[in-house]
Amino acid sequence: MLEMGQSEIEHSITGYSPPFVEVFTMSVRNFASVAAGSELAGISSALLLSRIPLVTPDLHPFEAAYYNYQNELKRRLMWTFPKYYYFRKGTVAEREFVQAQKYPLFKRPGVWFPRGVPDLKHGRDRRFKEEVTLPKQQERADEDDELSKPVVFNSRVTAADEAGDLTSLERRLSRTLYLLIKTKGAWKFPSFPLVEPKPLHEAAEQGLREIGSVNMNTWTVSNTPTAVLKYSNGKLLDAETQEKEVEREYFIKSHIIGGDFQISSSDVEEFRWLTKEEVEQTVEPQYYGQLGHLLSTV
Amino acid sequence: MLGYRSFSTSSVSLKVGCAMVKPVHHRVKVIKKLLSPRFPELKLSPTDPRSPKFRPEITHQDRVQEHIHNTLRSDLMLINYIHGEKPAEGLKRRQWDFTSPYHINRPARPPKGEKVPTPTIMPQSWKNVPGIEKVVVHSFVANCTSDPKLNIGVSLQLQQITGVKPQSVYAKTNLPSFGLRKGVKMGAKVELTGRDASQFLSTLTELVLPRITTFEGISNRAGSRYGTVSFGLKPEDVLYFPEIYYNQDAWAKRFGMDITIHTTAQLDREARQLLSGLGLPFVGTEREPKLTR
Repeated sequence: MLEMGQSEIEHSITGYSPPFVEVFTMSVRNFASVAAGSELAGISSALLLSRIPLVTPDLHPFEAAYYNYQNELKRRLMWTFPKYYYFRKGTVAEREFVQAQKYPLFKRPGVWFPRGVPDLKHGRDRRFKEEVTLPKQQERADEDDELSKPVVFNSRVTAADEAGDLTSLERRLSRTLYLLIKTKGAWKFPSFPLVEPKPLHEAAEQGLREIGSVNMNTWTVSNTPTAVLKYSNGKLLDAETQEKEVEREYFIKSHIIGGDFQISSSDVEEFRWLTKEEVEQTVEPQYYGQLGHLLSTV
Repeated sequence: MLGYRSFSTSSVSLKVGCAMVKPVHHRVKVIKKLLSPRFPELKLSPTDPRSPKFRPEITHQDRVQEHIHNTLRSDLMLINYIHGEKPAEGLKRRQWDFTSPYHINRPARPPKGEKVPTPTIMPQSWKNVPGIEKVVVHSFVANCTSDPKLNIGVSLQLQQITGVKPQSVYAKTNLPSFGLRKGVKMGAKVELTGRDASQFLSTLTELVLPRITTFEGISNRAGSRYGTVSFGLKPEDVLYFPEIYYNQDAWAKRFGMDITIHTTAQLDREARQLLSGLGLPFVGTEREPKLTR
Protein backbone atom coordinates (compact mmCIF):
# COMPACT_ATOMS: atom_id res chain seq x y z
CA MET A 1 0.00 0.00 0.00
CA LEU A 2 2.79 2.35 0.92
CA GLU A 3 4.58 1.70 -2.36
CA MET A 4 1.44 2.40 -4.34
CA GLY A 5 0.89 5.65 -2.50
CA GLN A 6 4.44 6.80 -3.17
CA SER A 7 4.26 5.97 -6.86
CA GLU A 8 1.01 7.91 -7.17
CA ILE A 9 2.56 10.95 -5.58
CA GLU A 10 5.61 10.71 -7.81
CA HIS A 11 3.40 10.44 -10.85
CA SER A 12 1.42 13.50 -9.89
CA ILE A 13 4.64 15.46 -9.33
CA THR A 14 6.47 14.40 -12.47
CA GLY A 15 3.41 14.24 -14.70
CA TYR A 16 2.54 17.30 -16.74
CA SER A 17 -0.51 19.06 -15.35
CA PRO A 18 -2.71 20.39 -18.14
CA PRO A 19 -4.16 23.91 -17.87
CA PHE A 20 -7.68 22.78 -17.00
CA VAL A 21 -6.41 20.73 -14.06
CA GLU A 22 -4.62 23.81 -12.86
CA VAL A 23 -7.95 25.59 -12.61
CA PHE A 24 -9.44 22.87 -10.46
CA THR A 25 -6.50 22.76 -8.07
CA MET A 26 -6.69 26.54 -7.74
CA SER A 27 -10.37 26.37 -7.05
CA VAL A 28 -9.84 23.79 -4.32
CA ARG A 29 -7.23 26.03 -2.73
CA ASN A 30 -9.70 28.88 -2.85
CA PHE A 31 -12.28 26.90 -0.99
CA ALA A 32 -9.74 25.97 1.65
CA SER A 33 -7.94 29.22 2.33
CA VAL A 34 -8.41 32.55 0.55
CA ALA A 35 -11.50 34.21 -0.77
CA ALA A 36 -12.31 33.98 -4.47
CA GLY A 37 -11.24 36.77 -6.76
CA SER A 38 -7.55 37.15 -6.11
CA GLU A 39 -6.51 33.70 -7.33
CA LEU A 40 -9.05 33.51 -10.13
CA ALA A 41 -8.24 36.99 -11.39
CA GLY A 42 -6.07 35.82 -14.28
CA ILE A 43 -8.51 33.27 -15.66
CA SER A 44 -11.41 33.72 -18.00
CA SER A 45 -13.57 31.29 -19.93
CA ALA A 46 -14.43 32.10 -23.55
CA LEU A 47 -17.05 30.43 -25.68
CA LEU A 48 -16.61 29.33 -29.27
CA LEU A 49 -20.33 29.10 -29.99
CA SER A 50 -21.12 27.82 -33.48
CA ARG A 51 -24.14 27.05 -35.57
CA ILE A 52 -23.33 23.95 -37.61
CA PRO A 53 -24.26 23.86 -41.34
CA LEU A 54 -27.95 23.22 -41.98
CA VAL A 55 -27.60 22.13 -45.63
CA THR A 56 -24.95 20.27 -47.64
CA PRO A 57 -21.82 22.21 -48.64
CA ASP A 58 -21.93 24.17 -51.90
CA LEU A 59 -20.34 22.23 -54.73
CA HIS A 60 -17.51 23.60 -56.83
CA PRO A 61 -18.56 23.56 -60.53
CA PHE A 62 -15.93 20.89 -61.19
CA GLU A 63 -17.32 18.69 -58.39
CA ALA A 64 -20.84 19.12 -59.74
CA ALA A 65 -19.69 18.20 -63.25
CA TYR A 66 -17.82 15.16 -61.94
CA TYR A 67 -20.83 13.87 -59.97
CA ASN A 68 -23.10 14.47 -62.96
CA TYR A 69 -20.78 12.57 -65.31
CA GLN A 70 -20.41 9.60 -62.94
CA ASN A 71 -24.15 9.53 -62.28
CA GLU A 72 -25.04 9.51 -65.98
CA LEU A 73 -22.47 6.76 -66.54
CA LYS A 74 -23.98 4.68 -63.75
CA ARG A 75 -27.49 5.11 -65.13
CA ARG A 76 -26.22 4.02 -68.54
CA LEU A 77 -24.83 0.80 -66.96
CA MET A 78 -27.90 0.08 -64.80
CA TRP A 79 -30.19 -2.88 -65.26
CA THR A 80 -33.42 -2.36 -67.20
CA PHE A 81 -36.35 -1.42 -64.95
CA PRO A 82 -38.20 -4.68 -64.06
CA LYS A 83 -41.70 -3.68 -65.12
CA TYR A 84 -42.95 -7.26 -64.70
CA TYR A 85 -42.08 -7.11 -60.98
CA TYR A 86 -43.90 -3.90 -60.09
CA PHE A 87 -46.89 -4.20 -62.43
CA ARG A 88 -48.79 -7.47 -62.76
CA LYS A 89 -49.61 -8.31 -66.37
CA GLY A 90 -53.12 -7.40 -67.54
CA THR A 91 -53.86 -4.89 -64.75
CA VAL A 92 -54.92 -1.27 -65.18
CA ALA A 93 -51.75 -0.12 -63.46
CA GLU A 94 -49.62 -1.96 -66.01
CA ARG A 95 -51.53 -0.45 -68.94
CA GLU A 96 -51.18 3.07 -67.52
CA PHE A 97 -47.47 2.55 -66.96
CA VAL A 98 -46.94 1.24 -70.48
CA GLN A 99 -48.84 4.20 -71.95
CA ALA A 100 -46.77 6.70 -69.96
CA GLN A 101 -43.43 5.41 -71.29
CA LYS A 102 -41.64 6.87 -74.27
CA TYR A 103 -40.29 3.85 -76.09
CA PRO A 104 -37.19 4.17 -78.28
CA LEU A 105 -37.05 3.66 -82.03
CA PHE A 106 -36.46 0.11 -83.15
CA LYS A 107 -34.04 -0.96 -85.81
CA ARG A 108 -35.42 -1.30 -89.39
CA PRO A 109 -33.53 -2.34 -92.49
CA GLY A 110 -32.93 0.37 -95.04
CA VAL A 111 -33.57 3.21 -92.60
CA TRP A 112 -30.91 5.79 -91.74
CA PHE A 113 -30.77 6.67 -88.04
CA PRO A 114 -29.08 10.05 -87.45
CA ARG A 115 -28.36 9.25 -83.74
CA GLY A 116 -26.88 5.82 -84.59
CA VAL A 117 -28.40 2.37 -85.01
CA PRO A 118 -30.61 1.42 -82.02
CA ASP A 119 -29.48 -1.47 -79.83
CA LEU A 120 -32.74 -2.64 -78.22
CA LYS A 121 -33.16 -5.26 -75.47
CA HIS A 122 -36.43 -5.59 -73.49
CA GLY A 123 -37.72 -2.31 -74.91
CA ARG A 124 -34.63 -0.34 -73.90
CA ASP A 125 -31.94 1.22 -76.03
CA ARG A 126 -28.77 -0.04 -74.40
CA ARG A 127 -26.69 2.85 -75.71
CA PHE A 128 -28.42 5.33 -73.42
CA LYS A 129 -29.70 5.52 -69.86
CA GLU A 130 -33.25 4.43 -69.26
CA GLU A 131 -35.89 7.08 -68.53
CA VAL A 132 -38.78 5.70 -66.44
CA THR A 133 -41.88 7.93 -66.39
CA LEU A 134 -44.47 7.39 -63.67
CA PRO A 135 -48.07 7.68 -64.92
CA LYS A 136 -50.08 10.69 -63.72
CA GLN A 137 -52.88 9.53 -61.48
CA GLN A 138 -55.82 11.40 -63.06
CA GLU A 139 -58.56 10.14 -60.73
CA ARG A 140 -56.70 11.21 -57.62
CA ALA A 141 -55.34 14.53 -58.88
CA ASP A 142 -56.85 16.42 -55.95
CA GLU A 143 -55.08 14.23 -53.40
CA ASP A 144 -51.45 14.59 -52.43
CA ASP A 145 -49.90 12.44 -55.15
CA GLU A 146 -46.40 12.05 -53.74
CA LEU A 147 -44.83 9.80 -56.34
CA SER A 148 -45.57 11.62 -59.59
CA LYS A 149 -45.22 15.11 -58.09
CA PRO A 150 -42.03 16.83 -59.28
CA VAL A 151 -39.49 17.53 -56.54
CA VAL A 152 -39.03 21.27 -55.95
CA PHE A 153 -36.08 22.23 -53.77
CA ASN A 154 -36.16 25.09 -51.30
CA SER A 155 -33.74 27.93 -52.00
CA ARG A 156 -30.32 27.75 -50.38
CA VAL A 157 -30.31 31.56 -50.24
CA THR A 158 -32.54 32.83 -47.43
CA ALA A 159 -34.20 36.17 -46.75
CA ALA A 160 -31.45 36.97 -44.22
CA ASP A 161 -28.83 36.42 -46.94
CA GLU A 162 -30.61 38.77 -49.31
CA ALA A 163 -31.09 41.44 -46.62
CA GLY A 164 -27.46 41.07 -45.46
CA ASP A 165 -28.61 40.47 -41.88
CA LEU A 166 -25.48 39.42 -39.96
CA THR A 167 -27.41 38.79 -36.72
CA SER A 168 -29.65 36.09 -38.14
CA LEU A 169 -29.02 32.41 -37.51
CA GLU A 170 -30.66 31.66 -40.85
CA ARG A 171 -27.93 33.11 -43.02
CA ARG A 172 -25.27 31.15 -44.96
CA LEU A 173 -27.02 27.79 -44.42
CA SER A 174 -24.17 25.73 -45.86
CA ARG A 175 -21.50 27.24 -43.60
CA THR A 176 -20.57 27.06 -39.92
CA LEU A 177 -21.38 30.37 -38.19
CA TYR A 178 -19.63 31.67 -35.07
CA LEU A 179 -20.96 34.15 -32.52
CA LEU A 180 -18.91 37.33 -32.21
CA ILE A 181 -19.80 40.14 -29.78
CA LYS A 182 -18.60 43.75 -29.62
CA THR A 183 -17.60 44.94 -26.16
CA LYS A 184 -15.74 48.21 -25.49
CA GLY A 185 -15.46 48.76 -29.24
CA ALA A 186 -13.64 45.48 -29.95
CA TRP A 187 -15.02 42.39 -31.70
CA LYS A 188 -14.24 39.15 -29.84
CA PHE A 189 -15.70 35.77 -29.00
CA PRO A 190 -17.77 36.03 -25.80
CA SER A 191 -15.44 35.80 -22.81
CA PHE A 192 -16.25 35.71 -19.10
CA PRO A 193 -13.81 36.21 -16.19
CA LEU A 194 -14.04 33.47 -13.58
CA VAL A 195 -15.53 35.04 -10.44
CA GLU A 196 -16.22 31.89 -8.44
CA PRO A 197 -14.55 28.48 -8.46
CA LYS A 198 -16.47 26.39 -10.99
CA PRO A 199 -15.58 24.38 -14.12
CA LEU A 200 -14.70 26.44 -17.18
CA HIS A 201 -17.51 25.09 -19.35
CA GLU A 202 -20.14 25.89 -16.73
CA ALA A 203 -18.77 29.41 -16.33
CA ALA A 204 -18.91 29.94 -20.09
CA GLU A 205 -22.47 28.63 -20.43
CA GLN A 206 -23.66 30.72 -17.49
CA GLY A 207 -21.97 33.83 -18.82
CA LEU A 208 -23.55 33.32 -22.23
CA ARG A 209 -27.01 33.26 -20.70
CA GLU A 210 -26.28 36.45 -18.82
CA ILE A 211 -25.32 38.43 -21.93
CA GLY A 212 -27.68 36.60 -24.29
CA SER A 213 -31.03 35.23 -23.29
CA VAL A 214 -32.07 32.14 -21.37
CA ASN A 215 -34.20 31.09 -24.36
CA MET A 216 -31.19 29.50 -25.99
CA ASN A 217 -30.46 25.79 -26.20
CA THR A 218 -26.74 25.11 -26.48
CA TRP A 219 -24.69 21.93 -26.29
CA THR A 220 -21.18 22.06 -24.82
CA VAL A 221 -18.99 19.69 -26.79
CA SER A 222 -16.48 18.94 -24.04
CA ASN A 223 -15.20 20.31 -20.75
CA THR A 224 -11.72 20.20 -22.28
CA PRO A 225 -10.79 23.66 -23.61
CA THR A 226 -9.98 23.75 -27.30
CA ALA A 227 -7.49 26.65 -27.07
CA VAL A 228 -5.88 29.08 -24.64
CA LEU A 229 -4.85 32.69 -25.19
CA LYS A 230 -2.39 34.44 -22.91
CA TYR A 231 -2.59 38.14 -22.03
CA SER A 232 -0.36 40.47 -20.08
CA ASN A 233 -2.06 43.63 -18.80
CA GLY A 234 -4.85 43.13 -21.33
CA LYS A 235 -2.40 42.79 -24.25
CA LEU A 236 -2.45 39.54 -26.27
CA LEU A 237 0.85 37.64 -26.12
CA ASP A 238 2.34 35.12 -28.55
CA ALA A 239 1.39 31.47 -28.05
CA GLU A 240 5.00 30.51 -27.22
CA THR A 241 5.51 33.26 -24.66
CA GLN A 242 7.77 32.44 -21.70
CA GLU A 243 6.26 35.02 -19.35
CA LYS A 244 5.13 33.70 -15.99
CA GLU A 245 2.64 36.36 -14.87
CA VAL A 246 -0.03 36.05 -17.56
CA GLU A 247 -3.81 36.08 -17.71
CA ARG A 248 -5.26 33.06 -19.47
CA GLU A 249 -8.39 32.84 -21.59
CA TYR A 250 -9.61 29.26 -22.19
CA PHE A 251 -11.90 28.51 -25.14
CA ILE A 252 -14.80 26.11 -24.67
CA LYS A 253 -16.47 24.72 -27.79
CA SER A 254 -20.27 24.72 -27.98
CA HIS A 255 -23.06 24.44 -30.57
CA ILE A 256 -26.34 26.32 -30.61
CA ILE A 257 -29.19 23.85 -31.08
CA GLY A 258 -32.28 26.02 -30.62
CA GLY A 259 -33.42 29.52 -29.77
CA ASP A 260 -31.60 32.72 -30.63
CA PHE A 261 -29.04 35.09 -29.14
CA GLN A 262 -30.68 38.32 -27.93
CA ILE A 263 -28.64 41.01 -26.20
CA SER A 264 -29.66 41.26 -22.53
CA SER A 265 -26.61 43.00 -21.09
CA SER A 266 -25.46 46.62 -21.47
CA ASP A 267 -21.82 45.45 -21.90
CA VAL A 268 -22.60 44.00 -25.31
CA GLU A 269 -22.92 46.68 -27.97
CA GLU A 270 -23.51 44.44 -30.98
CA PHE A 271 -23.36 40.78 -32.03
CA ARG A 272 -22.94 38.89 -35.30
CA TRP A 273 -23.08 35.33 -36.58
CA LEU A 274 -20.13 35.07 -39.00
CA THR A 275 -18.30 32.53 -41.15
CA LYS A 276 -14.57 31.96 -40.86
CA GLU A 277 -13.68 34.47 -43.59
CA GLU A 278 -15.96 37.11 -42.10
CA VAL A 279 -14.47 36.53 -38.64
CA GLU A 280 -11.01 37.13 -40.12
CA GLN A 281 -12.11 40.49 -41.48
CA THR A 282 -13.86 41.54 -38.25
CA VAL A 283 -11.42 40.71 -35.44
CA GLU A 284 -7.83 41.85 -34.80
CA PRO A 285 -5.24 40.05 -37.01
CA GLN A 286 -3.21 38.84 -34.01
CA TYR A 287 -6.35 37.47 -32.32
CA TYR A 288 -7.40 35.67 -35.51
CA GLY A 289 -3.86 34.35 -36.03
CA GLN A 290 -4.10 32.34 -32.79
CA LEU A 291 -7.69 31.14 -33.26
CA GLY A 292 -8.22 30.93 -37.02
CA HIS A 293 -7.23 27.25 -37.22
CA LEU A 294 -10.12 26.33 -34.89
CA LEU A 295 -12.77 27.68 -37.26
CA SER A 296 -14.34 25.46 -39.89
CA THR A 297 -13.76 26.19 -43.57
CA VAL A 298 -17.13 24.58 -44.37
CA MET B 1 15.97 -30.71 -41.35
CA LEU B 2 12.43 -30.36 -42.59
CA GLY B 3 12.59 -26.60 -42.91
CA TYR B 4 15.56 -26.79 -45.26
CA ARG B 5 14.38 -26.64 -48.82
CA SER B 6 16.22 -28.01 -51.81
CA PHE B 7 14.49 -26.97 -54.96
CA SER B 8 14.82 -29.92 -57.31
CA THR B 9 14.71 -32.92 -55.01
CA SER B 10 13.57 -33.64 -51.51
CA SER B 11 16.07 -33.50 -48.74
CA VAL B 12 18.62 -36.30 -48.75
CA SER B 13 17.86 -37.03 -45.11
CA LEU B 14 14.27 -38.02 -45.90
CA LYS B 15 15.40 -40.93 -48.14
CA VAL B 16 12.30 -41.34 -50.26
CA GLY B 17 12.11 -42.33 -53.88
CA CYS B 18 10.25 -39.29 -55.21
CA ALA B 19 10.42 -35.55 -54.57
CA MET B 20 8.19 -34.48 -51.67
CA VAL B 21 8.88 -30.81 -52.34
CA LYS B 22 6.97 -29.32 -55.24
CA PRO B 23 9.18 -27.47 -57.74
CA VAL B 24 9.00 -23.72 -57.36
CA HIS B 25 8.05 -22.99 -60.98
CA HIS B 26 4.76 -24.89 -60.60
CA ARG B 27 3.70 -22.50 -57.86
CA VAL B 28 3.75 -19.41 -60.06
CA LYS B 29 0.10 -18.96 -61.04
CA VAL B 30 -0.39 -17.93 -64.63
CA ILE B 31 -3.63 -16.25 -65.79
CA LYS B 32 -3.63 -17.27 -69.43
CA LYS B 33 -6.23 -14.73 -70.55
CA LEU B 34 -3.88 -11.98 -69.44
CA LEU B 35 -1.04 -13.41 -71.51
CA SER B 36 -3.20 -13.49 -74.62
CA PRO B 37 -3.17 -10.39 -76.83
CA ARG B 38 -6.82 -10.92 -77.78
CA PHE B 39 -8.53 -9.16 -74.82
CA PRO B 40 -6.47 -6.09 -73.99
CA GLU B 41 -9.27 -4.53 -71.91
CA LEU B 42 -9.08 -7.40 -69.41
CA LYS B 43 -5.62 -6.22 -68.43
CA LEU B 44 -7.00 -2.89 -67.26
CA SER B 45 -7.76 -2.22 -63.62
CA PRO B 46 -11.50 -2.33 -62.69
CA THR B 47 -11.16 1.34 -61.68
CA ASP B 48 -10.29 2.28 -65.28
CA PRO B 49 -13.40 3.48 -67.19
CA ARG B 50 -12.28 1.44 -70.23
CA SER B 51 -12.46 -1.83 -68.26
CA PRO B 52 -15.66 -3.91 -68.64
CA LYS B 53 -15.65 -4.31 -64.85
CA PHE B 54 -15.80 -0.55 -64.26
CA ARG B 55 -18.73 0.68 -62.15
CA PRO B 56 -18.97 4.36 -61.16
CA GLU B 57 -19.02 4.65 -57.36
CA ILE B 58 -18.89 8.37 -56.56
CA THR B 59 -22.12 9.43 -58.23
CA HIS B 60 -23.58 11.80 -55.63
CA GLN B 61 -22.58 14.12 -52.82
CA ASP B 62 -22.47 11.97 -49.64
CA ARG B 63 -24.03 14.20 -46.99
CA VAL B 64 -23.55 11.71 -44.13
CA GLN B 65 -19.82 11.42 -44.76
CA GLU B 66 -19.57 15.18 -45.25
CA HIS B 67 -21.32 15.80 -41.93
CA ILE B 68 -18.91 13.40 -40.22
CA HIS B 69 -15.92 15.05 -41.84
CA ASN B 70 -16.94 18.68 -41.48
CA THR B 71 -18.66 18.72 -38.09
CA LEU B 72 -18.38 15.52 -36.07
CA ARG B 73 -14.68 14.66 -36.35
CA SER B 74 -13.33 17.73 -34.55
CA ASP B 75 -15.96 17.35 -31.81
CA LEU B 76 -15.23 13.64 -31.28
CA MET B 77 -11.52 14.41 -31.08
CA LEU B 78 -12.12 17.04 -28.38
CA ILE B 79 -14.58 14.88 -26.39
CA ASN B 80 -12.19 11.95 -26.04
CA TYR B 81 -8.92 13.85 -25.81
CA ILE B 82 -7.01 13.45 -22.56
CA HIS B 83 -3.75 15.34 -22.26
CA GLY B 84 -0.68 13.11 -21.87
CA GLU B 85 -2.68 9.90 -22.10
CA LYS B 86 -0.80 6.61 -22.39
CA PRO B 87 -1.99 3.50 -24.30
CA ALA B 88 -4.18 1.22 -22.13
CA GLU B 89 -2.70 -2.24 -22.63
CA GLY B 90 -5.22 -4.94 -23.42
CA LEU B 91 -5.09 -8.43 -21.97
CA LYS B 92 -2.77 -10.53 -24.07
CA ARG B 93 -1.91 -14.26 -24.17
CA ARG B 94 0.47 -15.25 -21.35
CA GLN B 95 3.74 -16.92 -22.32
CA TRP B 96 5.20 -19.73 -20.20
CA ASP B 97 8.31 -18.88 -18.21
CA PHE B 98 10.34 -21.78 -19.75
CA THR B 99 11.45 -23.13 -16.37
CA SER B 100 10.49 -26.56 -17.64
CA PRO B 101 11.70 -28.07 -20.92
CA TYR B 102 8.07 -29.01 -21.63
CA HIS B 103 7.25 -25.32 -22.03
CA ILE B 104 8.93 -25.32 -25.46
CA ASN B 105 6.25 -25.43 -28.19
CA ARG B 106 3.46 -25.35 -25.59
CA PRO B 107 0.79 -22.88 -26.73
CA ALA B 108 0.58 -19.63 -24.73
CA ARG B 109 -2.07 -19.46 -22.00
CA PRO B 110 -5.20 -17.43 -22.65
CA PRO B 111 -5.35 -13.91 -21.14
CA LYS B 112 -6.27 -13.62 -17.48
CA GLY B 113 -10.04 -13.75 -17.08
CA GLU B 114 -10.65 -13.80 -20.84
CA LYS B 115 -10.71 -16.36 -23.60
CA VAL B 116 -9.38 -14.16 -26.39
CA PRO B 117 -6.92 -11.24 -26.21
CA THR B 118 -8.41 -7.76 -25.93
CA PRO B 119 -7.06 -4.86 -28.00
CA THR B 120 -4.77 -2.15 -26.67
CA ILE B 121 -6.65 1.14 -26.54
CA MET B 122 -4.53 3.92 -27.99
CA PRO B 123 -4.82 7.61 -26.92
CA GLN B 124 -7.15 9.78 -28.95
CA SER B 125 -5.35 11.68 -31.68
CA TRP B 126 -6.28 13.15 -35.04
CA LYS B 127 -5.28 9.83 -36.62
CA ASN B 128 -7.84 7.59 -34.87
CA VAL B 129 -11.01 9.66 -34.80
CA PRO B 130 -13.92 7.21 -35.31
CA GLY B 131 -15.64 6.84 -38.66
CA ILE B 132 -18.15 4.50 -40.31
CA GLU B 133 -16.49 1.41 -41.75
CA LYS B 134 -19.46 -0.61 -43.05
CA VAL B 135 -23.05 -1.54 -42.27
CA VAL B 136 -24.12 -5.19 -42.37
CA VAL B 137 -27.83 -5.97 -42.70
CA HIS B 138 -28.55 -9.60 -41.89
CA SER B 139 -31.84 -11.50 -42.05
CA PHE B 140 -31.96 -15.00 -40.56
CA VAL B 141 -35.35 -16.62 -41.12
CA ALA B 142 -36.07 -19.63 -38.90
CA ASN B 143 -39.00 -20.80 -41.07
CA CYS B 144 -36.66 -21.42 -44.02
CA THR B 145 -36.19 -25.00 -42.78
CA SER B 146 -39.81 -25.81 -43.56
CA ASP B 147 -40.34 -23.34 -46.42
CA PRO B 148 -37.13 -22.83 -48.46
CA LYS B 149 -38.94 -20.47 -50.88
CA LEU B 150 -38.80 -17.77 -48.19
CA ASN B 151 -35.12 -17.30 -49.09
CA ILE B 152 -36.20 -15.58 -52.30
CA GLY B 153 -38.39 -13.11 -50.41
CA VAL B 154 -35.66 -12.32 -47.88
CA SER B 155 -33.06 -11.61 -50.55
CA LEU B 156 -35.51 -9.52 -52.54
CA GLN B 157 -36.47 -7.46 -49.50
CA LEU B 158 -32.83 -6.71 -48.66
CA GLN B 159 -32.07 -5.80 -52.27
CA GLN B 160 -35.12 -3.50 -52.41
CA ILE B 161 -34.16 -1.68 -49.23
CA THR B 162 -30.40 -1.35 -49.74
CA GLY B 163 -29.97 -1.48 -53.52
CA VAL B 164 -27.09 -3.96 -53.14
CA LYS B 165 -27.08 -7.61 -54.19
CA PRO B 166 -27.46 -9.85 -51.11
CA GLN B 167 -25.50 -12.97 -50.24
CA SER B 168 -27.22 -16.07 -48.85
CA VAL B 169 -26.50 -17.16 -45.28
CA TYR B 170 -26.36 -20.83 -44.29
CA ALA B 171 -26.94 -22.70 -41.02
CA LYS B 172 -23.61 -23.23 -39.28
CA THR B 173 -24.59 -26.10 -36.96
CA ASN B 174 -27.04 -28.97 -36.61
CA LEU B 175 -29.88 -28.24 -34.19
CA PRO B 176 -32.33 -31.15 -34.53
CA SER B 177 -34.79 -29.67 -32.01
CA PHE B 178 -35.32 -26.69 -34.35
CA GLY B 179 -35.12 -28.83 -37.48
CA LEU B 180 -31.91 -27.05 -38.40
CA ARG B 181 -29.32 -28.86 -40.50
CA LYS B 182 -25.83 -27.61 -41.25
CA GLY B 183 -25.49 -26.01 -44.67
CA VAL B 184 -29.18 -25.20 -45.20
CA LYS B 185 -29.89 -21.77 -46.67
CA MET B 186 -31.44 -19.68 -43.88
CA GLY B 187 -31.75 -16.12 -45.18
CA ALA B 188 -29.54 -13.40 -46.62
CA LYS B 189 -27.27 -10.49 -45.75
CA VAL B 190 -25.78 -7.43 -47.42
CA GLU B 191 -22.59 -5.53 -46.61
CA LEU B 192 -22.91 -1.83 -47.31
CA THR B 193 -19.95 0.50 -47.68
CA GLY B 194 -19.52 4.04 -48.95
CA ARG B 195 -22.58 5.83 -50.24
CA ASP B 196 -24.85 2.77 -49.92
CA ALA B 197 -24.13 2.68 -46.19
CA SER B 198 -24.72 6.44 -45.87
CA GLN B 199 -27.98 6.19 -47.78
CA PHE B 200 -29.18 3.31 -45.61
CA LEU B 201 -28.26 5.12 -42.37
CA SER B 202 -30.02 8.32 -43.38
CA THR B 203 -33.15 6.41 -44.45
CA LEU B 204 -33.08 4.63 -41.11
CA THR B 205 -32.64 7.74 -38.97
CA GLU B 206 -34.95 10.06 -40.91
CA LEU B 207 -37.77 7.84 -42.17
CA VAL B 208 -37.89 4.45 -40.45
CA LEU B 209 -36.97 4.83 -36.78
CA PRO B 210 -39.10 7.97 -36.13
CA ARG B 211 -42.19 6.12 -37.37
CA ILE B 212 -41.75 3.06 -35.12
CA THR B 213 -43.98 3.84 -32.15
CA THR B 214 -42.41 1.25 -29.83
CA PHE B 215 -38.83 2.29 -30.58
CA GLU B 216 -37.14 4.01 -27.63
CA GLY B 217 -33.56 3.85 -28.80
CA ILE B 218 -30.71 1.44 -29.34
CA SER B 219 -29.58 -0.24 -26.13
CA ASN B 220 -26.40 1.20 -24.67
CA ARG B 221 -25.34 -2.36 -23.91
CA ALA B 222 -25.68 -3.52 -27.50
CA GLY B 223 -22.23 -3.81 -29.01
CA SER B 224 -19.05 -5.79 -29.30
CA ARG B 225 -17.31 -3.66 -26.60
CA TYR B 226 -14.77 -2.51 -29.18
CA GLY B 227 -16.59 -0.22 -31.58
CA THR B 228 -19.33 -2.24 -33.26
CA VAL B 229 -22.99 -1.49 -32.50
CA SER B 230 -25.89 -3.79 -33.42
CA PHE B 231 -29.66 -3.69 -33.14
CA GLY B 232 -32.65 -5.35 -34.73
CA LEU B 233 -35.81 -4.41 -36.61
CA LYS B 234 -38.94 -6.53 -36.37
CA PRO B 235 -40.97 -7.52 -39.48
CA GLU B 236 -43.61 -4.88 -38.66
CA ASP B 237 -40.89 -2.17 -38.41
CA VAL B 238 -39.48 -3.02 -41.83
CA LEU B 239 -42.76 -1.76 -43.31
CA TYR B 240 -41.60 1.84 -42.86
CA PHE B 241 -38.78 1.62 -45.39
CA PRO B 242 -40.20 3.69 -48.28
CA GLU B 243 -39.42 0.95 -50.82
CA ILE B 244 -41.78 -1.35 -48.91
CA TYR B 245 -44.25 1.26 -47.66
CA TYR B 246 -45.27 2.50 -51.11
CA ASN B 247 -45.62 -1.01 -52.54
CA GLN B 248 -47.25 -2.86 -49.67
CA ASP B 249 -49.29 -5.15 -51.93
CA ALA B 250 -46.11 -6.83 -53.08
CA TRP B 251 -44.89 -7.31 -49.50
CA ALA B 252 -47.50 -9.46 -47.78
CA LYS B 253 -44.68 -11.28 -45.99
CA ARG B 254 -41.97 -9.16 -44.42
CA PHE B 255 -38.83 -10.24 -42.59
CA GLY B 256 -37.00 -8.79 -39.61
CA MET B 257 -33.36 -7.79 -39.86
CA ASP B 258 -30.29 -7.41 -37.68
CA ILE B 259 -28.27 -4.27 -38.41
CA THR B 260 -24.61 -4.14 -37.40
CA ILE B 261 -22.74 -0.87 -37.75
CA HIS B 262 -18.98 -1.39 -37.87
CA THR B 263 -17.04 1.73 -36.93
CA THR B 264 -13.34 2.45 -36.58
CA ALA B 265 -13.95 3.48 -32.94
CA GLN B 266 -11.83 1.68 -30.35
CA LEU B 267 -14.63 1.46 -27.77
CA ASP B 268 -18.42 1.22 -28.00
CA ARG B 269 -18.71 4.52 -26.15
CA GLU B 270 -16.88 6.30 -28.95
CA ALA B 271 -18.96 4.48 -31.58
CA ARG B 272 -22.14 5.65 -29.84
CA GLN B 273 -20.85 9.23 -29.76
CA LEU B 274 -20.36 9.04 -33.52
CA LEU B 275 -23.75 7.43 -34.19
CA SER B 276 -25.58 9.90 -31.91
CA GLY B 277 -24.13 12.62 -34.11
CA LEU B 278 -25.82 10.92 -37.06
CA GLY B 279 -29.20 10.89 -35.28
CA LEU B 280 -29.40 7.40 -33.76
CA PRO B 281 -30.79 7.57 -30.20
CA PHE B 282 -29.40 5.38 -27.38
CA VAL B 283 -31.05 4.30 -24.12
CA GLY B 284 -30.20 2.31 -21.00
CA THR B 285 -27.17 1.77 -18.82
CA GLU B 286 -23.69 1.61 -20.32
CA ARG B 287 -21.16 -1.19 -20.10
CA GLU B 288 -17.46 -0.38 -20.25
CA PRO B 289 -14.68 -2.94 -20.69
CA LYS B 290 -12.19 -3.15 -17.84
CA LEU B 291 -8.64 -1.84 -17.97
CA THR B 292 -9.36 0.89 -20.46
CA ARG B 293 -9.58 4.61 -20.28
